[in-house]
Amino acid sequence: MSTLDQMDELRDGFPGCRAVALADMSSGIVLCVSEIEKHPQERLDALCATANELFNTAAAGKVFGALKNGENANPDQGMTITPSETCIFLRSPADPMESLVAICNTDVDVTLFTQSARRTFDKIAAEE
Amino acid sequence: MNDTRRMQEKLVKLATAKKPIGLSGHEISAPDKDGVMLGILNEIDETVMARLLVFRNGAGKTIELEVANRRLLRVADTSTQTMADTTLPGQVFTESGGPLVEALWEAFDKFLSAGEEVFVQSNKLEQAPDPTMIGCASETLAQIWSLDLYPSPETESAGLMGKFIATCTDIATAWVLFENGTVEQTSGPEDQVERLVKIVDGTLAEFDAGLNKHMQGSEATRCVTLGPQGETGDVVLYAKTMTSGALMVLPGAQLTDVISKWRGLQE
Repeated sequence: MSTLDQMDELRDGFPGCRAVALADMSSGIVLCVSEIEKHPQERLDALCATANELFNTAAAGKVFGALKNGENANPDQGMTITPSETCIFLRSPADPMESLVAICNTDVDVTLFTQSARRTFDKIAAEE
Repeated sequence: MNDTRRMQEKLVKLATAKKPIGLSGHEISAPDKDGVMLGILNEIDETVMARLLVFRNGAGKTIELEVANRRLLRVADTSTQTMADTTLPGQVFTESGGPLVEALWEAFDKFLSAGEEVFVQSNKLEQAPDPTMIGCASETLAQIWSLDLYPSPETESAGLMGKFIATCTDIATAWVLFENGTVEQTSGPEDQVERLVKIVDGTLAEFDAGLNKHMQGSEATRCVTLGPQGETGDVVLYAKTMTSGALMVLPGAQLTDVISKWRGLQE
């Protein structure tokens, strides 16, 4: 199954999921997108940049470090929550500069979605 | 600025109003009784032409107020169903308020005991009010009832963050609440709180600035999570509105619940 097929399958499993994108954080490029309706490229680029902000900056590392003895580790997962949507960010298990970004409606169960997205990303990483 | 914000809130209210089928008007929605009372005061404050404001609770009972020029003139005689044990119906309110205002608060307190859902309708008065009736101004009512009718944006945001934290105290392992970058309240294990305070004092502004570059439109109100952390499964949540903010550590399994609480307060 291709990467895009896997992303389509993930999105189809959650009717409130509007888009799933695979992004390369080092270049800021969105590699591929599975989406119900087309999102402007600027939006996707901004999400890729947000993923980089959450996963790779020293500031985010220090905030995440609040969780364990102040160690400056970097997170592998994050979310941004607004009144109209939840964006879920996952770091690839295989490539630390690759991330999966999902745009979901507010009625999506983020815990269930994240578990499914993690499984999908594991499969994508294993096939690369 | 306050007037502009209040007008914007009114426009949002009109656009998203839910109402019982067959009735015009809108719902007064608030997380607690004081919030509903403030909503009722706002209705009086926004009524300039002489009107009968009909407040209906979840049980279908009504309190009807004659209002003009942003002043409460009197409780209409038709409110006897909810005011049978008071002398309020028909009595004219004075500029200073007096004991009638306290009696009205108690009547509303009972009226809201069926739940905080209140629906308001504005009707024409059957006859023009007596011009000698001065009534009690909305600001005076607010003062006597210790409610802030015109809160500053800072007061509102601080109240909202406080409410958010209050809904999460049973869930969060540790949290800090801060205002303008200064920590005001904390809770949790000492070492954990110390780490959170250090972040507020140091890195958080940088984290915020980084997010501002890419998350346009969310500079004033934001909620972001990082984690879970591999060993503990904990998540760190950063929420802010205006100059008030909170940094919280919570179990990852509770994240959906906390997000729901955050969204509930934004409505």
